[in-house]
Amino acid sequence: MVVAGVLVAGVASAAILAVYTTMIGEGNVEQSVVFGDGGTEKSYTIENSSAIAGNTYIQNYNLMNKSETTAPIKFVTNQCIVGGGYCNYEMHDEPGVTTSYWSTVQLAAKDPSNWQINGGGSGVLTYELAASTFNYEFEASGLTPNKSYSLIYYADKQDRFEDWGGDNPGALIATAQTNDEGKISIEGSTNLGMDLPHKNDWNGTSEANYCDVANGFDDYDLCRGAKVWLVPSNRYDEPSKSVVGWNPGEYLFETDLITYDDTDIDGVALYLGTGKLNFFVKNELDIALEPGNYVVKTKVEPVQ
Amino acid sequence: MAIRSRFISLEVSLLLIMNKKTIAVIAISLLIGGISLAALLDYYGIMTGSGEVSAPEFYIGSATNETLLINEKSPDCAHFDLEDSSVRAFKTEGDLEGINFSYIPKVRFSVRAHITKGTPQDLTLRFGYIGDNGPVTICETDVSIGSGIDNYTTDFIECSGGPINARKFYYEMKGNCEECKYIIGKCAGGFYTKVELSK
Repeated sequence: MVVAGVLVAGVASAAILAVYTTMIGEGNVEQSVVFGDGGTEKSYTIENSSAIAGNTYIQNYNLMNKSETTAPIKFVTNQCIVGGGYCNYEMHDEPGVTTSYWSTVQLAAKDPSNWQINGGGSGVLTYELAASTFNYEFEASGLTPNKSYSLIYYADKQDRFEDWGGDNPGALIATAQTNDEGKISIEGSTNLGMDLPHKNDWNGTSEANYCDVANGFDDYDLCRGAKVWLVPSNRYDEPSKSVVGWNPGEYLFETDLITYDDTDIDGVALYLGTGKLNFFVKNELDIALEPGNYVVKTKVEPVQ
Repeated sequence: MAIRSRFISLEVSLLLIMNKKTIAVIAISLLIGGISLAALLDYYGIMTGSGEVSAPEFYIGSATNETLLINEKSPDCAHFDLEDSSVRAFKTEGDLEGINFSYIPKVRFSVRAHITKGTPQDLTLRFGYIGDNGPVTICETDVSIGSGIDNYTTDFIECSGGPINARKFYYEMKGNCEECKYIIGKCAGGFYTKVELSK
């Protein structure tokens, strides 16, 4: 009886297929975020000769997000004096060494018929990538002398050529007056209260692509991100964060997109869209820094 | 006996099946664990900067305004005078907002100078800071200056203490002669009148 039961069970097992077909996918998955040359490790000398306490040194790098997905990243820094016992720590702030991460974007006059730079005025915005306030330096020239200008975050909507104005949500970064020569030179910190691009901004979505002339005009390094413009202050309505009237000949437009992490918002994560982010490491050495050998190690970590 | 034997065989088979299942569960767990570890990168990249950091240097800025530059060479090589036992104190500009040194520095003075009188005369060189309670000289030495223009550089001198709550630094020069004049140059041929700090 038992034997018969076992036999029946065996027949029943044979009759019910475990699988109909099998599909096996294989592939070599590459890392999404790497340095611009494809590498993952970089070494630099803080200063080719001897660095001097009291000075600031920078080192240029770029990060490439090869994926179609925006990658949240953060910079984790460890500073130490060799022999001080902290060089194997994951995070250590060496007193007297301040390390931060900055990027620059050029603004330029453009011909709105083809969105190419037309050789008018120009500006350079240098900004800290991750901080509790938007820390910046801005210089511009070729502007109308003795006129007030507004440096703005211009946030697009999906139908950006029809429903425009930059108020999605947009923000005023700074207002500055040109001198007699039509130049501006300012620096400061503004609490924007948001990351750039804001989550509502179409330019930060997966639909946006400002690289490789995919949109018919632009060949930026960073394919998704935020736009910064300089417009005459009388053409900007601060309460609504809108550009008023279309007078493109008076504006300086972005020549690349930017990304900024407001570290007070949604934790620490810099949203790196598809493309390449050019940035520099800034090491500020306090004048009272004890002489010696120093190491500054930065990990670019994914934020889960 | 045959039935008993089959029972034993079945028990062994079940045990074997269970062992296989257990092994399979462990293997899959390890595989998933491995995949999970591989999927979650600890980091995308590392940048490592290193370098030897030396102590600051101070150069004469404007002789007229008696300014002292930090890590910035003199913009010109003009000369200035120092008569008899008078004092000229070159100070850094702006408020440094209370700098504290964690070490006692050594100081090396450099000065390009000569005097109008034939006999060598001492020139007192001092380095210090202006803190909450006024100026504090932490290093001082005398250099014997001759009548021919020359470059003078001292050894590194141990200072008496480190700057505490320093708001400005100063490089002071004091004459020690009577009816004579020191002519001091800010620089010439790559030589600079300056103060170098060291640990």
